[in-house]
Amino acid sequence: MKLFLESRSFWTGLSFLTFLIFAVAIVFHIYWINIFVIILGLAINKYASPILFPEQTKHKKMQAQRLEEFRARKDYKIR
Amino acid sequence: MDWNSVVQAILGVGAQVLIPILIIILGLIFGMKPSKAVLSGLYLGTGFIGMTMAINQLTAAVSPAAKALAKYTGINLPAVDFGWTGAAAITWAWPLAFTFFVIEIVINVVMLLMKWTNTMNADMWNVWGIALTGYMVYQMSGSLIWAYVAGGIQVVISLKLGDMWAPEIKDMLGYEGVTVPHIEAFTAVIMSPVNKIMDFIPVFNRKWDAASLKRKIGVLSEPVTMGAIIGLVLALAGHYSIGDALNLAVTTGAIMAIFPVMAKFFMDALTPFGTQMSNFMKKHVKGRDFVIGLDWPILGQSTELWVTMVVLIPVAILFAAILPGNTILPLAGVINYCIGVGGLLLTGGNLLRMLVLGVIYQPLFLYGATYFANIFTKLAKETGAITVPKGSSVSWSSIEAPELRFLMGLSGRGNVWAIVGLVVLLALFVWLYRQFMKNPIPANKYSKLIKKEAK
Repeated sequence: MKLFLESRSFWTGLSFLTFLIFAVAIVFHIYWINIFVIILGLAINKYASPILFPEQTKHKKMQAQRLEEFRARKDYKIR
Repeated sequence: MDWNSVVQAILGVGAQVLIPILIIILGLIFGMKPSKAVLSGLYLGTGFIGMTMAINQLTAAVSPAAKALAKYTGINLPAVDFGWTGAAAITWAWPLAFTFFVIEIVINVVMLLMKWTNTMNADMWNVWGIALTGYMVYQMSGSLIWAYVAGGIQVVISLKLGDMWAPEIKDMLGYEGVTVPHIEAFTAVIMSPVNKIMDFIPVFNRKWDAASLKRKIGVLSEPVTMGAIIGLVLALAGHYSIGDALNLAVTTGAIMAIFPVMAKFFMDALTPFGTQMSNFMKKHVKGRDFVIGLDWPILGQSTELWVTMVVLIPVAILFAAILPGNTILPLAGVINYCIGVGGLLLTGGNLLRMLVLGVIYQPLFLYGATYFANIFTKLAKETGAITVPKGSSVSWSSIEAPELRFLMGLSGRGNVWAIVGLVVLLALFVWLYRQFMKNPIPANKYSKLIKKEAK
C-alpha cells in the first residue's frame, strides 16, 4: 500500500482523474461532485507534491530554509 | 489580401494551440530531441486548456451571483462588462490590427540584437493587447502615427517588464528561462509608490506568504476555504436558493483546489525546455541569458495569486456599488488579473501587501472602465463586433494598464497635463526597473529590511 502511495504513476493518474471529474461537473452541471475535486485536490497538494514535482518541492524547501537561517542568525526586532 | 483575416485565422486556433506549437519549434531550434519537444508542447497545451477552463468557469460561476446581487440591491450601473473577450473582438474588427504584430516582432528583434532586452516574446496570442492600445489611442487622439508610437512604447515596456520579472519567477517558482511580459503586470508600476511606503511599516515586512498565513489562521487561509466562503457569500447576497448557493461554494472551492495542481503540471512541461534553452544560449551566445515570454497562467501555481484575486471579487463589487461616478459592475472582468499578477511580482508573494494594494488600486480599474466606456461603446457600434444593449454602454472592468492607455491617448491630443503625466509614469517605470535590477527578488528585501533593524 505504501509503495502504491509513493508511486508517481498513481498520483499522476489520480490528478488526471480529478481534472476529469471537474470537467464532467462543469460540462454536465453536476456541481455537487466538485466535493470530490476538493478532497482529491487537497490530497494531491499535500501528499503528492514531493512525488510528482520533486524539483519544485526541493526549491521551495531551500527558499524557506534560506530565510529561516537568516532569521535565526541574529536577534532582531521589527520596528 | 485581407491580412487581418490571415492573422486572425492563425490566432483563431487559440493560445492553447499556438503557444505549444511555438514552444515545440523553439525547442527543436534549441536542440531538444523531437520527442521531448513535442511532449513539452503537449503538456503545455494540456495545462493551458485546463487553466483556461478553470479561469473561465470561475468567472462564469461568479458573474451571475454578482448580477443577482446588483439586481436585489437596486444597484444600477449602465456599463456592461464584456471582459477581455469583448475588447479582443473589437480589436480584431480594426483592419490595421495585424500591423501591430509586425511592430512587436520588429521591435523585439531589434532590441534583442542591440542587447536592450533578453526577452523573446513567444506570447504572440496576446499581441492583440498592443493593437487595442493603438486602436484606443487612435480614437482618442485622431493620430495614426501616435497610435503606432503608443503601441511601440507598450512593446518596449512589455519586453523590459519581461527582463525585470525573469529572476524573480525563477526564484519564486523554480523555472528557468521563462518570464511574463504581459502588459497587465504594468499595474506594478502604479502600485510601486505605495509598496515603497509599506517598506517603512513593520507589519508589511513580515513573511506573509500562504504557508505563513496557514500557521496564523489555519484552515481559513486555505484557498479552497476562501473560495468556498466567497462563493457562498456572493450567492446568498444574490438571493440564490440554499442549494444553488452551496453549488456555487463547492464549484469555487473546487476551482481553487484544482488550480495549483494544473499549474504545476503545466509548468513542469517547461522545465526541460527552459534548461535546454539555457544550455543552448550558454554554448552559442556568451554572456546572454535569454528568457521566453509567456502568458500569465505560468504563475498559476502561486496560491497567493489566487487568494488575492478571489478575495478581491467582493471588494470589486462593493466598490462598484459605492464609488461615486462609477458606471460599471464587474462581471466578465470580475477576476482582476492585473492586480493579482502585478501585485504578486511587485511584492514577491507578500499576501498582505497584495491584498492591501488590491483594495487601494481596485477603484483605478473601475474608473478606467467608466472613462473608456464611451470609447468602447463607440468602437463596438462602429465595428459591429459586439452588440451593445439598448440604453447601455460597454466596457472592460479589469482593463490592462488603464492609466498608461489614458495618458497616451490624451497626450496624442496635445493635452499638456497628460504629457506631463505620461512622462512621470514612464519615469516611475524606469525607477522601478532600476530597483529590480538592484534587487531582482523582492522577497529578499524583507530579509534586508530586518537586517537593517538588527544593526
